[in-house]
Amino acid sequence: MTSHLAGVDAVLSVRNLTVTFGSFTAVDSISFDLHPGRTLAVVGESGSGKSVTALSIMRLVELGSRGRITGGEILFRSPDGSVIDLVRTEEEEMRHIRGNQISMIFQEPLTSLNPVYTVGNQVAEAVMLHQGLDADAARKRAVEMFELVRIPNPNERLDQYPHEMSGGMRQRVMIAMALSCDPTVLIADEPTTALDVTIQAQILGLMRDLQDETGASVIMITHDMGVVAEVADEVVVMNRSKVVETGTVYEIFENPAQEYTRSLLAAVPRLGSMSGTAAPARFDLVGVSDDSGSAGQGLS
Amino acid sequence: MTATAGGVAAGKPGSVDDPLVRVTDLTKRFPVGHDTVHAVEEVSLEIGRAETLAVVGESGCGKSTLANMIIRLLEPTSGRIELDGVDITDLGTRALKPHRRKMQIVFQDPFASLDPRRQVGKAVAEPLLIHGVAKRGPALDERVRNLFEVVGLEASHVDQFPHQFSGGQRQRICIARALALEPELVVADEAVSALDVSIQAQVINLMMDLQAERGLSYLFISHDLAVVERVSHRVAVMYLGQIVELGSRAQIFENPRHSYTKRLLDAVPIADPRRRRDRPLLTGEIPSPVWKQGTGPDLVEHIEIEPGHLVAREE
Repeated sequence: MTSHLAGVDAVLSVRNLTVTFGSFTAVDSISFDLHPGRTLAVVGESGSGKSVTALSIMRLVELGSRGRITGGEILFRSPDGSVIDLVRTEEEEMRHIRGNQISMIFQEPLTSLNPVYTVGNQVAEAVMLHQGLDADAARKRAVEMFELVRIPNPNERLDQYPHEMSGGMRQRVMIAMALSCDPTVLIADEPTTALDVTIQAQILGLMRDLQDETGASVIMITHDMGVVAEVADEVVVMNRSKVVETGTVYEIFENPAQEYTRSLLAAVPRLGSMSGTAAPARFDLVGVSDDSGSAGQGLS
Repeated sequence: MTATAGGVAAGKPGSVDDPLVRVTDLTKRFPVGHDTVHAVEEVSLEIGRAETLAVVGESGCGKSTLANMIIRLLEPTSGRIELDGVDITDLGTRALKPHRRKMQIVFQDPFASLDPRRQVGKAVAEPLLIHGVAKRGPALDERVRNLFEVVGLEASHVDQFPHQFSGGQRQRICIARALALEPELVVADEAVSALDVSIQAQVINLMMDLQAERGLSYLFISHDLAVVERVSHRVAVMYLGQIVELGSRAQIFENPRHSYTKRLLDAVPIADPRRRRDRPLLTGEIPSPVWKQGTGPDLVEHIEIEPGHLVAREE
């Protein structure tokens, strides 16, 4: 088993990862590298395997669901420089890595927060658990984190319950919690999909600033090409469990090599694309497989 | 002058010639304890024939409440709704029935709007039976198969169940059902929001083709400005239950005048990495539409800055 990272500067390297659910292959031998301080977007449509990829890196795919990592490796470089294969890491050690060195934020902050504890409690819990701080130090850290994610009046906000906050504020709390242990890698799975567009803009801007401030490397899982264009340095395009194409954000948007990437980009409505025209206009679709023809192919 | 989509009449500000729908000062308030949610406040608008009017805004701005009132799924607190020149605001169930045929709705989640235990052909046939337009028999079956073909599905699919279809196909079935009674107005309430982009584009193309073929009017409710720019003739921007800007697609997208419209447009992610912008780190949020009894929001005053382009006055 190799345990050095070939692409020397990568903090995380996924190699030939395969994940199955029973007889279904959800992720089929995919590979990509995440570089320090960079944002890698994994983009694809429903069922492409992008969220399973994220859960596999966290080694959450086997917990609570019947997913199995059946092949490949996920090499992770710890802050101390040592490299481990997360696929072969014991659950007990994963618990030290998860939330500490690699943390994750999800789409729906309301279901990720415990409704019966104050948000301050929940942020403090993360740092008490992972960094061994006592209650006072943990609260201080929570205030710092709330300031970091630009939550106004952090001291009062700490004592609120999740339902007392808006969706945008809750997602800030989730980001505060995820960053509270200074993770090397932050995985964000559709972090702005449930938010209104003006709030989405605030959260994307915040995430970009925080990356500059903390130096964390980010994996952004999204279906939205607009979000990809706003935040990504590198892009991995997934379709039907496979990686279709990998490249810099400029390569993917300006010179996509694969037909699938081109069809995905052609289907994206672009603000401003209609300027100067009076009537609505159809999408000029290229090479998209029509969904109208064959019935009975729904995955459910 | 013919009733071209978006054609602006000389008379009332922002009005269209011979509109299919005319809404005047429509208001909806919901009591919550001792307080009141001012969901929609004195909204007036018109929808032309063969026109798509988009209503955009963020969660809670009242856009779905407005749409549900227009098709009489929700009783307005006050205001008038005219369809095809007939005031339908106070019509009872029986009197309303012939008018209901003219207006149909397609919802966001096609899974939730189809009965999982019912063959999809039967779902599409149901409105025809309810309205007594057709009787069970080979003629009805033929009509349903035709509708499937109109929305790009195979006629042989009529005997299948919703779970056998993908999300895009299910939304096509919902559109077929909405078209069964040959309506004049179709309300699309976030009808493409849950679909993947490639499927979304196909369903939007279908809706545009149907409009061209049948002269349908759409009330297109959406939070997605890029989609709205693509589909609409005219656009109304809602904020806290009121329209802050209304105009042609070009007026709203190329010459937005209200600060909220500008803020919305600025927030849309642009699918071009070279146009990435530095975003101001605002933490601003939309205020609550809940008011104590006896209080309420100030009503906006609209100014027509050019023909058909209404903007709420700002301090």
